[in-house]
Amino acid sequence: MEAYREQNALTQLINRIAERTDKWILPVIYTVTQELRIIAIAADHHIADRPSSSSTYNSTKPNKLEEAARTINRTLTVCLNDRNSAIAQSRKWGVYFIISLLFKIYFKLGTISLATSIVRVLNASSAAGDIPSVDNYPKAHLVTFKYYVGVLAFMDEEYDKAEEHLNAALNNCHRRASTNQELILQYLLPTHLLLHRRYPQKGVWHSFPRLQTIYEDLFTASKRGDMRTYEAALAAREKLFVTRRIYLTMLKIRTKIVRPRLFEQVYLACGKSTRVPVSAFRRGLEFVGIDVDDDQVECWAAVMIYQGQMKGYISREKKTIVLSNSDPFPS
Amino acid sequence: MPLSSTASVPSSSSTPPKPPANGNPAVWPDSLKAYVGRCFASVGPSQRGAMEKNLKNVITSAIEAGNLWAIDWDTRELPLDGIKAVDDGEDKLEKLAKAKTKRAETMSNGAVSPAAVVAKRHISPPPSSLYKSTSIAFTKSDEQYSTTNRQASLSVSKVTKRSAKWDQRSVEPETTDDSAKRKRTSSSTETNYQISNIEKAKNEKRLLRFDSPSSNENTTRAATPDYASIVQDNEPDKFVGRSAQLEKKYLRLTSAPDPETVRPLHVLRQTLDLLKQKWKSERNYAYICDQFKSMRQDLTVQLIQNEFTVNVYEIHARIALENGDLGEYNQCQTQLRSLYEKNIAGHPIEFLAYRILYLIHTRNRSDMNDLLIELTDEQKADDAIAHALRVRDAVTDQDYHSLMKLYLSAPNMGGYIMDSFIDRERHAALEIICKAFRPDVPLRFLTDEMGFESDKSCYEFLEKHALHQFIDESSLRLRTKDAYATTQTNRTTAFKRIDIKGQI
Repeated sequence: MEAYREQNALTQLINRIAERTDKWILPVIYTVTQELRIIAIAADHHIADRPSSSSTYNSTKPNKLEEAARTINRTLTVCLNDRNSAIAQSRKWGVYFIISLLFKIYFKLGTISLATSIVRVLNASSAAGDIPSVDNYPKAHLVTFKYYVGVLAFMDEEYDKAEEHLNAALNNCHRRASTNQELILQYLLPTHLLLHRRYPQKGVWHSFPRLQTIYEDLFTASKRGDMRTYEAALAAREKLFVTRRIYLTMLKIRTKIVRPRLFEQVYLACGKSTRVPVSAFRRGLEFVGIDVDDDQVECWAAVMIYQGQMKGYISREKKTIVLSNSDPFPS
Repeated sequence: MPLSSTASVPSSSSTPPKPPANGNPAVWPDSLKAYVGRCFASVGPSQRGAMEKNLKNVITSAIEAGNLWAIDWDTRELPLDGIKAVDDGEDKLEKLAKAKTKRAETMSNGAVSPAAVVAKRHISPPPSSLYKSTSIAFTKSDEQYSTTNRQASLSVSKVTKRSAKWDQRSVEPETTDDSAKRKRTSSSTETNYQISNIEKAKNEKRLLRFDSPSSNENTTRAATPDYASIVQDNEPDKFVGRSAQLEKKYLRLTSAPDPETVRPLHVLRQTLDLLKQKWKSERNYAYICDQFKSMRQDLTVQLIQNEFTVNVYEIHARIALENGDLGEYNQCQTQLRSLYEKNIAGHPIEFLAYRILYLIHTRNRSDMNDLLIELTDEQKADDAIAHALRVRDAVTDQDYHSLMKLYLSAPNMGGYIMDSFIDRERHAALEIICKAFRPDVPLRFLTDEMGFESDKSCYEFLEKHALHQFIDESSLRLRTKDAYATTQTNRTTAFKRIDIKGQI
């Protein structure tokens, strides 16, 4: 606790000093803020572990990380608002580092909205030409930054943007930085699957056993259209996915990838006939343990047609699905 | 932080499974409620504190012994140790009992079924689709309801289902008033009780200060603030009102409140009863809303945050929902959230389900994500919340079939919240249907798949949105290909984000 208070005071002091300095102070800022974050986390643990018998005047809530975030936010402002005319000497070079630090804090705290607001501030400055273009910054800063922006886009269901940023982060990653790569892939793999129906190569599972444990079952089931296994695996990992905000995406995959694949299997089993009765699909679903009525099957089929996962139309009168001659299940 | 009001009544989790499963964690047998009513009716206001104490002991030991439902409370004698029975006409509980019996009477003749009015061909959906309950404690004749309410366009059969469904809900809120009192008696833990003792002492000192300048006030009023303040959970320096006027128009405060116009807690309780009766008989939403707002205001300026406050907000929220007033509902919901977080008893699970539905309506993805992360397994197991989560899934998947089934089976007052986004989803469904089905679909199919009560109301909807022109009059089928373009436009318009100032 003591350490935290000291460090916080130190950071605030540095903030004030930095207002009048050039970029030489950046390494100092980096060290100080990094340590502040770590110490704040430790302080919060300390508070949480302490038995709450005595209610001291100071709040015993583990809010030190929040406080630290506010201090570091000030650092960001200090970096951003550098009126130094010579860009090469400006503090603005510290921006992406500080932002990444703040991202880490906000993600830990779960205050995602604060993270998105930073991105907005950043975009505003970037658009106004206030800060150097993003690619000129040191790679290490960029990887972290793009990772977080990618994850934010992922959570916001902007999968194209997520893919773009996560890919960039991955490509710029050091070849041996496997932890970082694993983190990025954790979000990139479902994104690829959802957007392009692309599955990872076997080599990926070998290099990243933890990802294999999480995803392999799901991906295999998805490829085969095996909804039963997919749903079981998803339920087993629900808590994990929910906390990392991947759960909703996996649900989307179920609707957009797995279920159509199941319908495709029925189509194939019917000898690729272009006229398949609704009851056939219903029996196919029953086979994997999903018991629904014909109307529900038609509804799901209708949504697939509407979203483009299946080509054809439904005849209500004849209770049949008429599939396109060519490529009724586009990939 | 998980929303859990069960923290305030920890011992009730050990009660035998006999109590009805309606999501309320502390359901008490009716005989017990009557028993408590008799206890309080038999003592004067100055004795309430002592009676509370005794009751708490009796009930807690009953809970611990698992006897809560087994004891015959009707014949149990009142715990009058150390209390002299004083009858001073404080008859709020009697009023409640009267209101209950009155309701029971009207219940039996309220469930009229004017089936003849239902549109011609449509066989009404199976009874399980009773989908909307009315707000608490209020019954009405069906005719009166459909004429005065702006939702009068709904077929009367819906109203019948609603009032029938209301039966199930009716026991709940009325008893929150009673159970609010009882929760007070049994819910305090040791530390709470110690604290309230200290608070009691503080209050008495404060009341002495209060009493002296107004020594000519009659003793009943001086006595009842005593009771009221003991019962409250948090005790900062309180502003206590002095008005005895039950009804009061709402005026936004621009300066410090005048105690002469603010009603203290015991008066507000009477106001609540009065308002309930007035709502039942007059059904004047504008008036009721206004009155409730002024009640909320009085509670706020006096910093009263207890089960009564929760009750007021809950009732107001339900009435607002019934009248489609989402703005007012949302205000109440916000207040309720913070009250529940202080572990004040109420119906947090019911309102959590409403919140989920509301977030679907506002399409607030980030708040929804945060909420999902914080859901506990216990909450997810609740029927209302499970229903709301399935609605979320259906809306995300564009699964209109499941969505309409859920709409027609919405528990509590969720149906009213769904009302506000169901039309939007209907447009989405129409667009999907017109893209996927060829060459046409029967009107009956649309009625079912879009959750309409009858072919007639479905047709009216299509007419309203320029789709009836694509219906072949003789066969009553919709030509999907022709209609598709219009459905696209309808859907785009429906999903445009409308900014309603301050309400969304």
